[in-house]
Amino acid sequence: MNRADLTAGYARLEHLHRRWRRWLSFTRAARWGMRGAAGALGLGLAASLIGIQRQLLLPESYLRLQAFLFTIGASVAALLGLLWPRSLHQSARLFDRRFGLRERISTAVELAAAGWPGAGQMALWQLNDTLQVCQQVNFPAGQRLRVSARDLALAALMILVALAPLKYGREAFDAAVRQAAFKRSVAAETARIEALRQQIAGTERLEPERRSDLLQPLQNLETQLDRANSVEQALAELAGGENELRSLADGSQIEAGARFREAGERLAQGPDQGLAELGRQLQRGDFLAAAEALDQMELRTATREEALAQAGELETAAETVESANPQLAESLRSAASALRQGDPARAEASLAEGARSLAEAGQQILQAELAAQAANEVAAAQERLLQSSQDSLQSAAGSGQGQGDRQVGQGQAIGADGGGSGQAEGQAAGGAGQGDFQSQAASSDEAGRQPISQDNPPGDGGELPYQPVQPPTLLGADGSQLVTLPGSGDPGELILGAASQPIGAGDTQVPFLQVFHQYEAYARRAINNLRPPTYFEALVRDYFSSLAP
Amino acid sequence: MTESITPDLFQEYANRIEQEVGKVIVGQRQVVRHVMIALLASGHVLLEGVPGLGKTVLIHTLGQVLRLKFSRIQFTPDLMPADITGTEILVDQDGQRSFRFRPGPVFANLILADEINRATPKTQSALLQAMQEASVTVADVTHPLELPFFVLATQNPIEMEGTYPLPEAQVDRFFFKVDVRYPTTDELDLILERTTGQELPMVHQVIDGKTMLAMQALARAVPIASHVRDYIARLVVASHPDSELAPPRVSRFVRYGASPRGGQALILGGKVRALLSGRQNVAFEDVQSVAPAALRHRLLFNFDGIAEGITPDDLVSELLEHVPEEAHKVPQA
Repeated sequence: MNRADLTAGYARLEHLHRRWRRWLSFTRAARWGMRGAAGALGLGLAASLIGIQRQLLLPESYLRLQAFLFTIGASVAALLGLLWPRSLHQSARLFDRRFGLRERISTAVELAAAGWPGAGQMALWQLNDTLQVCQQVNFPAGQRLRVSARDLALAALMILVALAPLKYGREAFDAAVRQAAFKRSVAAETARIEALRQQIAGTERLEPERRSDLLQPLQNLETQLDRANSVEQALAELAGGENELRSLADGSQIEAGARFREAGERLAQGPDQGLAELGRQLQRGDFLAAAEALDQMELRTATREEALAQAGELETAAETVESANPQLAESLRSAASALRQGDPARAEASLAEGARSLAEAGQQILQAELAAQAANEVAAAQERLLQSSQDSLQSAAGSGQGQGDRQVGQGQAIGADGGGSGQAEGQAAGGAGQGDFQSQAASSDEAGRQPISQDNPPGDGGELPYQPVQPPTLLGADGSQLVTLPGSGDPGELILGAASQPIGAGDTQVPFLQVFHQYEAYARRAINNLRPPTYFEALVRDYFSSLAP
Repeated sequence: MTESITPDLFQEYANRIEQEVGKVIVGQRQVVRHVMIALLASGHVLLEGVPGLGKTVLIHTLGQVLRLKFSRIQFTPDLMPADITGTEILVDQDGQRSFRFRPGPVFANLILADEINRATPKTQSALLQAMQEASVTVADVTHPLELPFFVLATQNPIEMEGTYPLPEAQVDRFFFKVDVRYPTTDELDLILERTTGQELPMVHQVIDGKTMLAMQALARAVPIASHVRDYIARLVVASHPDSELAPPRVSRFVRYGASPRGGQALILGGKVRALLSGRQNVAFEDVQSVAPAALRHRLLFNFDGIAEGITPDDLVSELLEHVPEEAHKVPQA
């Protein structure tokens, strides 16, 4: 009877205790969740610092990562807090302490766990006393969902610390943004080059060997672009690729193609059907079809008069294509001569020879034209990449306004870039020492925008001639003056510390002192932002040191 | 009065006893409460205080309230052990001479050993067996004492003239040592009023010996949780200077710490206090409440401790502050 009373009483206590334990788990979940969030933020920050340091992490990505870690950390910790086991006796002691129950619950739980040894009356009294006191406990008031001030402070601190890199790591984030923009630009250019490569690969009119000659540089360019880690490197690779393509774009062949088209236009209007067909194909630039038309041209040998008339037309056609392809003209004349001599077989053989010559010339022309087209595309890619780089620098400078002199100065420098030719000329002057590309030297402006090839430093340079360099218009130049660069121009010559020949007194319109510090600041910022090769940094610094008033 | 005691009845009797004692003893509530706890835990009490604070009156009043056979022994330097335990006397009966045991004053339920430290240690030790075993051996014959048996001893501070420090073994046999402090002005005013009038306060008997035994049995049945018992064990161990748990001042000033009897006193005292508080289990606060009375006479100081004038209560307080209730921190959430 006594034991039954004990069992019944303890069941009531257990019910109450279970309810309290459930709430305790929620409280612990909230507490652990707070700590988990703080811990995850701390870990995330530590991991992110590496990414920030390496300028790989964008601000948006960083924020997303922190938010993700905060959520995951809080959720996992809260779940653990909810499910983490706690012994009955442990929670009983906790409730004793929290509600001031003076060890009532823990004693009752311990007695029950021991099976109420002796099942004495005292155990029942104790149990009843515990139940009575527990029922008087104001549980909601004593067990509010409390989170300690320390946990709250820790979480708040971690949030602040996690947000700190957004303020104090702005430069790294800006660099990462620029790097991401660069990667996007490079990817876009790579895609364009790939499209161009596919287009050339699909040009069946071109012989496979010639196609391969064109495809290989493009393939190499794509590979090198993938490996490029900076704008300068990518521009250098593009310039190198363009150079290689331009070497395949034989100007005489392109010119020959143009003459063929002109000749074709005239031939298409002639009376002879065969020659008119040849002219139309030439006019369209389809040299293979033109060669076929020539090869299959029908000879009019029914009467002597017809043969003579056709011979005359062939001679006229020979004169027309003479400037485009002398061999073809010679073949046409030979065919005309054979017709006059009444030898149609030799005339056909001559036409066949001319067709072969035309086909061969057509292949060369097509290859040269495709190479030129590809080179132009690559040149355009350089322009876009450079523009993209400048845009990203400009936006970074714009976002950095008010952050310090460095960012403000940078924004001014970019503004000068976009505005005048002086900046372009200045770049040309800087790049001239590295050697430049002949094909890009159409004007001083273009020379200034041409990037410095990274695979053509002074150490292995000199393969291409130096470009003429003009002083900037801001200093009074009018485009006709040339700056004499230091050094002999021999390959491999280092010109560190050597100043260029100064402009003579009275040639400038702006006082030297007025612009020196500004130019020097531009140069230093350019060194900081663009990260040119080390030897080039030294060159720029030494240049301005030598000029310093 | 009945032998079937419930916790409520226990509390009621205890309250009535305190009320009756309170009619005579002004103030000193803590002293009365500790004496009550010791009696209900079958323990002996050593009351220490300067003369004239009512120690003897308190015990005498308790004897009246408890309806127990009361005996008072005034300890003096010439008191002999046989004066306490009793002695064999030669009896001539019908021409036959024989020795017959004549019980001493120790054969009572409630012994007042007044000014116990005025007797020599040899005489003091005569109480040893009686206090521990509730029996007396004289001439190779052991005579059991009637239960309940309490020794309530008073002593003057040992610094006073003409006193003999109690032997350590005997001190340890006292369940509690209760310090009787000087009354406050208001209490003294009331004492003067009560003791100088025409009518002296009358007290009524509340319980008898059997009820007292039943109450003692009930107190022993009070359960104690294992972690509270563990706390008591750590407290006792921490009172030893060479223990890792010992506070720095205990290590420095204590020569010997509390014996296991100290732990027993903490548990039994805690059980009685729990019942007096209307609870049927021992709480940490019960242990902490009785700790000074249970431990203060069990801490033996070394020379440094004595020289520094350290009081036992200081060290007990330090023990209570130093030793955590939970051996391992209970997670809060």
